[in-house]
Amino acid sequence: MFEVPITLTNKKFAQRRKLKYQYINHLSRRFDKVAKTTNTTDSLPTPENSAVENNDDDYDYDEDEEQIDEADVYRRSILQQTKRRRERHWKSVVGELYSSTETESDSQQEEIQENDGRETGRKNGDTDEERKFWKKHEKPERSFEIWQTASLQNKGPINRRKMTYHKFQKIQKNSLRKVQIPLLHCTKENRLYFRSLSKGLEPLQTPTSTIRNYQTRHIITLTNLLHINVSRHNWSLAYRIFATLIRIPEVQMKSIWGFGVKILDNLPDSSSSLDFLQWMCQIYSSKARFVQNINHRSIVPPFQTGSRTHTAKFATTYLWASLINCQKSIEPSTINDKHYDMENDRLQELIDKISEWVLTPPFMEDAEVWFIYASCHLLKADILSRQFVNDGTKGDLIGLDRDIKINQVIKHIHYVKVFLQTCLDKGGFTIPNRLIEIQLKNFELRLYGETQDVQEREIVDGYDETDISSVENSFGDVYETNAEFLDTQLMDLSPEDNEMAENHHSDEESSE
Amino acid sequence: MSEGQLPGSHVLGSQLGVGVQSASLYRPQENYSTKKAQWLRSVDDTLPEGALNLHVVAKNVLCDTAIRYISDDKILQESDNDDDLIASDLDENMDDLQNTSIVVNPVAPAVPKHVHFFKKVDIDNDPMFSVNCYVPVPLQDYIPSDLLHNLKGSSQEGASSSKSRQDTPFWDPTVANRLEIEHIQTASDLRNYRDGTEVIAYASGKTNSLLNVGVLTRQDTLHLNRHNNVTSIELHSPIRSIKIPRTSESIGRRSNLVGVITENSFQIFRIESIHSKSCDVVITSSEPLYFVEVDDMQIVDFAFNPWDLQQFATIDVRGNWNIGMIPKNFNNNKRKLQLIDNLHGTIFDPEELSSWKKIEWFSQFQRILVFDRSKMIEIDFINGWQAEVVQAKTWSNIRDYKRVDDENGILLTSREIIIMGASEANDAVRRISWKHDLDPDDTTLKVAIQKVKMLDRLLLVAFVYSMRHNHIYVHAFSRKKSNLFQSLGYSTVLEISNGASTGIEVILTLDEINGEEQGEREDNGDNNVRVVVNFSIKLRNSSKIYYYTLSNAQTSKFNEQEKFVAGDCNEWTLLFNNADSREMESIGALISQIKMKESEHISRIQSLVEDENSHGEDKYLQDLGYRLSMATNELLESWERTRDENIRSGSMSYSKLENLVEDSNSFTSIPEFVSLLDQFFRYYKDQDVAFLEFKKLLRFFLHEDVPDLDIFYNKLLQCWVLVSPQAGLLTKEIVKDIVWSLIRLEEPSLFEPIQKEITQSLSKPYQDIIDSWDMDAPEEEDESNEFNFNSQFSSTPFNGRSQFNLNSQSQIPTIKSSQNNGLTRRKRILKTQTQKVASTSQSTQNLSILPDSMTPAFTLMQPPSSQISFVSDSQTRSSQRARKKKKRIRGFG
Repeated sequence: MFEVPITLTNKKFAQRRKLKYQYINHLSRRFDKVAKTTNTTDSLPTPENSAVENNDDDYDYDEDEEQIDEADVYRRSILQQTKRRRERHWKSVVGELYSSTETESDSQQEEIQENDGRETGRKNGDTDEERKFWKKHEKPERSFEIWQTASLQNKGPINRRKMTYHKFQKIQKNSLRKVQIPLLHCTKENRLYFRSLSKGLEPLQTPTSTIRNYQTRHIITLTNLLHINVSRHNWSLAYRIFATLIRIPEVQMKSIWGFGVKILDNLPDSSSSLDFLQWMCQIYSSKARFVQNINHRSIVPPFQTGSRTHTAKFATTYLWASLINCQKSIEPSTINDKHYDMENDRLQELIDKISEWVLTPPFMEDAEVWFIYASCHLLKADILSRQFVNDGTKGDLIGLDRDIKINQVIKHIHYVKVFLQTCLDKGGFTIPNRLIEIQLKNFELRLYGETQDVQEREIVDGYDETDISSVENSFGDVYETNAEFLDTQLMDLSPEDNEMAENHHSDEESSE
Repeated sequence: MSEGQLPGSHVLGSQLGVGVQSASLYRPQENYSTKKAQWLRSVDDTLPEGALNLHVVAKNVLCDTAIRYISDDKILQESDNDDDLIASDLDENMDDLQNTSIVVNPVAPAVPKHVHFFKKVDIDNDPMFSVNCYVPVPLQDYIPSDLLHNLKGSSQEGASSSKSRQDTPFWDPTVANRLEIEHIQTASDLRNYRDGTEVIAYASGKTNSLLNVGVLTRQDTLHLNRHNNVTSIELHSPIRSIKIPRTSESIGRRSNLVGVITENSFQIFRIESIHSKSCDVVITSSEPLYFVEVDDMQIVDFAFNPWDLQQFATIDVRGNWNIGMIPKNFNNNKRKLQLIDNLHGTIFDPEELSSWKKIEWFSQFQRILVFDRSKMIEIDFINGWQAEVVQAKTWSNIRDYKRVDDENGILLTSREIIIMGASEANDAVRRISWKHDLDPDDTTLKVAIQKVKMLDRLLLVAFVYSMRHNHIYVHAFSRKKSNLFQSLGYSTVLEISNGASTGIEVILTLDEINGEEQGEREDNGDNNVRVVVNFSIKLRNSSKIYYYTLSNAQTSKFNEQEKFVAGDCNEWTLLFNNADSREMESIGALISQIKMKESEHISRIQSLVEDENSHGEDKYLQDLGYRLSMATNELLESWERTRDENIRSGSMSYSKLENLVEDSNSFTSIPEFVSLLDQFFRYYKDQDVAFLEFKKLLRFFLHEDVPDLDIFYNKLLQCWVLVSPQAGLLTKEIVKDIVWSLIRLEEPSLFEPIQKEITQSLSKPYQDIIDSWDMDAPEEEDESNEFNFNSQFSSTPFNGRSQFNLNSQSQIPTIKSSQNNGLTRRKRILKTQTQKVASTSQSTQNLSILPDSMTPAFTLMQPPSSQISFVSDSQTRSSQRARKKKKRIRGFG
């Protein structure tokens, strides 16, 4: 009943897929043709039109059409290639690519792959129908489907060309005739499968239910047990199942790592899940370009792999988990503890690590990683500025020491802003930047003793109900003004400024 | 931070799965001591871990689609066309059913008598043989052989197991749900400010062509109305899908429509009124919209506009959608559903083979979502644009979509459960997703949503189910007031156990109509959130619709009501469902009586516990013995007195011991009781009174020999000690009850005259049989003979012969069953011995015939030598004879 972490392939499924895609490809080709003819005439069906359409049904014509189509596909692929090359060229001109040498090697690789693909395609002729089908569609990396919000580019006029019964019959008849010969050569079961599929029925059985191979069955059973025990929170048992499962060579770790993390999280030894994630990052991180032409049937990219343009899910999970872990371990310790220092070091370590990461491809383009980076600094700034709140009673920090610490906090606040800005620049990522803005202000206020606990708590409590409409100022503006503000602060820490900041803050409050 | 409050990808929102973390937000606080979470995560960690540990609290049968419920009145208005016979094919006017009684569908079709099965029929096509003149048609019908073959195959399949039937490799995705439960509000409900009625609509009948509409009542759980009044309408075509619209909350009323797709038409029914007492439903219907009228394309799905009760949308098998209008009332001649001409379009995709399509309204009056397996397209039919929001051509497929409310919906793909919401521009955006890890190739996955209101949030519990197994995958999303969606971060798997049927056909959830339970569902303690979820479920291959109540409450914390519900959910409730008020009263009285008895019993037991240590028991037992003997004496005397009458009337004189004395149970010591009984038996046996040997009867309780009552008691106690802390006492009570009710006594001397009389009245042969029956003496003799033979046999090598002698001797028909065992056993010994003794030629020959193993298969072999055949023959005969004997004796026993 659950997804099996292995790739199930055998002759039967291969034959089925082949038949299906051959039929689909032919169907869509026919459809394009019919659509084109109706498009060009764009009028009521006249005797001439229907005569032309009837002609289509002839066998001889069909062969021609096939050839034309082949040629068409080929031409299209070449066009695509040139287009891509041009794109890459322009990108390099703009300076988006990281280094010219890398690109070249990459493109060479790709070309080799493409050539391979084409050669095999030519050799086998029809066999690569599946690849043909997959080539037509963009393969998303981050999610299983392509998601778009209905934007202007996306919106089109309503497609009003009705698919009538007769039109469809015409398309289908031809395509069915096309697959008749391959159908003769396949097994009875597959013939039934195809016929039902072409009638719009759906298979009730899945490949997993038909497999009789002992080892595969074993894996299927183990997977089911793993899922059920995780859902029932039987962690120790789940751990044993997981351990058994990952020792089987065929099992793909990439597709079940989440369970490993969850199980290790709930076992007494709490840090091991982080170690596991780190290990995942080291072993499975890939900086290769995501090749659209490859049929990724065995490994599905979202949740499983990363590439040059896509940070693997386990990497971000690792970062978030370690950040949250840091924060949680700091929480109970008092600020001036030795333990605290250690944890603080861990946070610093994490910051260092991310700063290294963001220099390399998948991470430097990923807004989320930048956001994590900013969050780290936010946490750091929070911790450091908190010292000032406590100092109100103790009065430890004076003079130079105090100035240094203030500078530290301001440095981190500055980093938060910079990285958030980068994150926004990368785009595609939503940040509650107004909230962070308020928080940063609060940190600054802490430095000068005039903390506004009450207000802050209100903000934090009322956070869930924050009014949406009031969020007008984009982060960019605030950042600009604050940069100046920051400079003045660094130079001169006069109480007037302090007050000004406060006023500014309360203004915002009232506006809200 | 406009949409949602969680940081995340613009387009994708938060992607979650088991063990996967998504973007979170750090919320610094002044004091670490405050309980508030420091992080705002996409996983809602404010709910306790066990919030989703649902288990079944109650389960009852809502109704059974195999039963045709009675309805008294004619509900449907007579159609204009009276001539049903002629018009039945073309114009499917609904007939009223002749609802005479509850009719359960016959299991197998009756085969007419004159149909004969031939293996093969050759039809000569040669024109030479074609008959030109009149020939009487033979009275035998012809059935094509391949049809016969198919039938045979299917019947074999059906007979072999339900599993093979389940393995039919394909299903039709256009058959959506043939069952719907929803609140409706009729016109009079609206006028009287009534909230509405829960109505069930389902398809039934052999071909699922019968539309049934019934009113449900809610008493603790959901039931069919008291009168079992279900209105049935024959549609003459298999029903594929039934839907009752859910309207938007903003318009403040509910619909009263039922939409039905059959094999050849689309039709809308309106529930005009519901009689509150008899639960009669008055239904009018629109004229069916035949697929012939809409380009011969089969409509596979439809939706009702939640803001406009008169607008609907349909989509056909190739993806052509159309908006239509429902006429205001179906009474007059304008009952036709109108498709609006310029509001149509298509999402046809040549790459899409499956005929699964879905259409649903989205966040606005003019926005619809249209789905096929690989696309979700948002369409604004007023402003005339469409946009492809989801394209699922590669790694996943769309499986199902459910509208949650005016803003949100849940999309189920083959890999994820996705919450979709409307952005400020009312466009569909993805908010949060949960990777469910179910088999991505399972095409039958569907989802049902139950909203659970809590104080500060709304819990959306998603049930993902499949036609392939009985498991429900449960995941929950919590939604804060600010439209912030969070996942609960884990999911559970529920198993619905129900006999042989595998796969869930449909799960339906019903929103609570009134928010009053909100208070009840709030947090009891800090970390204890009670979640109660209800749904109705119909399993594949099962005709029953069940109503389940699930809760995450711990069993110890059940309140009284729930316990009652749980206890009630057996077959009895089903039986009593149909009872009227008078019957209910008497049932109630019965139950109270039972309860009274029970409490009496328990109080007695408790008093016994207290008395156990006091020494009044000996005295009591003595007294009991005395009373018993007195009563027995009296009885015997009375028997003596009425002896002659008894003989004449032929009545028997025996009595239960239980009837003799009253208050016979107030003691606890079983050994004492045993000794009392022993003394009692011994005493009366001397007086020629026979007792039933109850110890032999006790054997049937435990399936083993019980030498003593004490042991019987101990064994029972072993079984029951786990059940109750008072098992000891209860067992004692039961043992006493058993003993008292088992022991009977009689006086054999009284029976003798009766017996004599009866025997004399019999004819000769029967008398002989009866005489031979009681002959014990020869049997013993025979047994001793056998033993002699055995000893003889060990000394003599001529085993075959001696055995034969024995067999010929023992032709006297007086062998008893106990002897049979002995005989066969001895024969075995004989065989082994034969194999061992190798000194004589005969035995070696014997060895050659007898198989190595001990199987008695030697009778099947035809041995070559006559001598040996003789031996084996005799053996067969003897064994046969023994078997025969056995039968005869068993017949008497």
